[in-house]
Amino acid sequence: MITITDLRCAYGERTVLDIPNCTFAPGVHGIVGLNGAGKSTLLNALYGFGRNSEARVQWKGEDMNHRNTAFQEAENYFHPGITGREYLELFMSGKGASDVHVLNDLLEVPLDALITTYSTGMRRKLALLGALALSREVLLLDEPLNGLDLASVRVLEAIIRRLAERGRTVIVTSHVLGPLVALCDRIHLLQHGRFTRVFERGHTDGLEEALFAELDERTRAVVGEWGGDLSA
Amino acid sequence: MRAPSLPTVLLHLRWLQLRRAFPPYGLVLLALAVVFVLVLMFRAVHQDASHTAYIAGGTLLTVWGLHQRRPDLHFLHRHVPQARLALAMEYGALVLPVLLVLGLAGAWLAALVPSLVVALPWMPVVRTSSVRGSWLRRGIAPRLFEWRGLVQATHPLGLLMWLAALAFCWLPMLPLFLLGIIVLMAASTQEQCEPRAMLLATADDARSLLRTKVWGAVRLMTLVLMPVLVAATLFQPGWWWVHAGFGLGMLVLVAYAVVLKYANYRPNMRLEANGANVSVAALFAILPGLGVVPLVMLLTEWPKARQNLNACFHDHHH
Repeated sequence: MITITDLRCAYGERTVLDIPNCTFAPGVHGIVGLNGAGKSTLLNALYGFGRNSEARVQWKGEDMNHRNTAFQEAENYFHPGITGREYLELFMSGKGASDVHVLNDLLEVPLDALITTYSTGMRRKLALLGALALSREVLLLDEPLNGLDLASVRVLEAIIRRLAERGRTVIVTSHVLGPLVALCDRIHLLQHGRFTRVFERGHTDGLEEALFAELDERTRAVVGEWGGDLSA
Repeated sequence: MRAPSLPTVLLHLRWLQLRRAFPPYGLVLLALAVVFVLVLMFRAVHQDASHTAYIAGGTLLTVWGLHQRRPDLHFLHRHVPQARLALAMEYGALVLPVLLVLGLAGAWLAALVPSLVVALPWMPVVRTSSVRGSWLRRGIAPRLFEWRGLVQATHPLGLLMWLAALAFCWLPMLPLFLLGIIVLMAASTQEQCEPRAMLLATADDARSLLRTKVWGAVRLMTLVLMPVLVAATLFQPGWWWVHAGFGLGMLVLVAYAVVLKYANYRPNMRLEANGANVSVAALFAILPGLGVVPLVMLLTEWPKARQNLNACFHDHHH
């Protein structure tokens, strides 16, 4: 169980995340929100970066950090001049790490080629394999579906579901609602840095409306005012 | 705005880069280092005329290697008018001091060999996306991934230079010169910061990360330096103290490059300014009696590296 107490993150004077308290039980949790809602900031804070000093973010009573959590960031960077296999060797060299080569039979990353020759999707899959190799109890995935083909999305869903069955906690952010609804046990709606609603699996009616309500209202007002006049 | 079309555009650019990278005293020290190396070359040629062939061939080979591996070649051809001429001017300026030394020593014929660098921009460049030096990389621990990157960036030129250093270990200075270049190539690899995920996968805390990286670097460089220095000492036993001092100086230099990287570590960034500091440290490492300066620089940066890495490992929570 992840417990969050008094978590606040700010960029300068602007507060971008404000979560007085929240818990995440083992299972798959989706975080949805528009751009700037604070999704990536939340995952970074859960991983131990950018928290306020009063914040308590714990997993089973211990501080959450890289020792008990794996994090696949939204942007993937790699050290130049190394191959995919060498990258995975690093992640599999630590204590308690697991061999993920068997998963690559499905994801088909060309491990013996230089990472600099990889496509965007291949890079994401390699970063995912690295995070999985660490074999941590908590897995944070920031926009893991970006750049993946449909086949890889299905494989990723199967992997995440398997981790949840084994009692792990997986937190996923995404802009794509469809796969997230199918995958998650709970979906948390994040708006302006606060959790505003939670949707349980099978009870996600109204999620899309809740996500876009504010945007739709603003869109109607702005587009109505604009009136489609391009001559100006 | 159009780029200036003069063939000296690259020379102008290098001068600007030098001025940015070094403070004025750094430029003076660099000039002194160049003069020092040239004097050593001149003395070597004067001592034994057969050295001219190695210096001339080595210079041509080095510039050829630079030309083959320069990452901006495609960019220059697309955006710089008369790119080949500009490259020829740059390479010509690079070998000019060597030509001067050979000319002053009266080795005019040998001086023709490095002069061929001006023809390099018209020669084909071999580009490959394949993995280089697989057998070498296998001997490097996964946590020292930047050294695998070094093999990718420098193979086979680095290996050829090392073999040349070993083959010519009976000469007084050439092996040290070649080893010095290899060490500087290794130090330059430390300018590239790894992503945060790779940093955190390498070790559990700042202390063990620094230990892993520094000792790993020292171990690998010892493997590179020892065979050549031992062989050189066998041929010139009276120089044992020069070889020992040089070896220790180079190990400290590489350790300093590693520590400097982590003192300024920012995920995914290339710390180009570190190159200037490493150059200054390298200069002190080869100047007689000043070898302790890089050690002081290393010890000064160590606490900064620990502090910076502690923030990355968020150990301030504990």
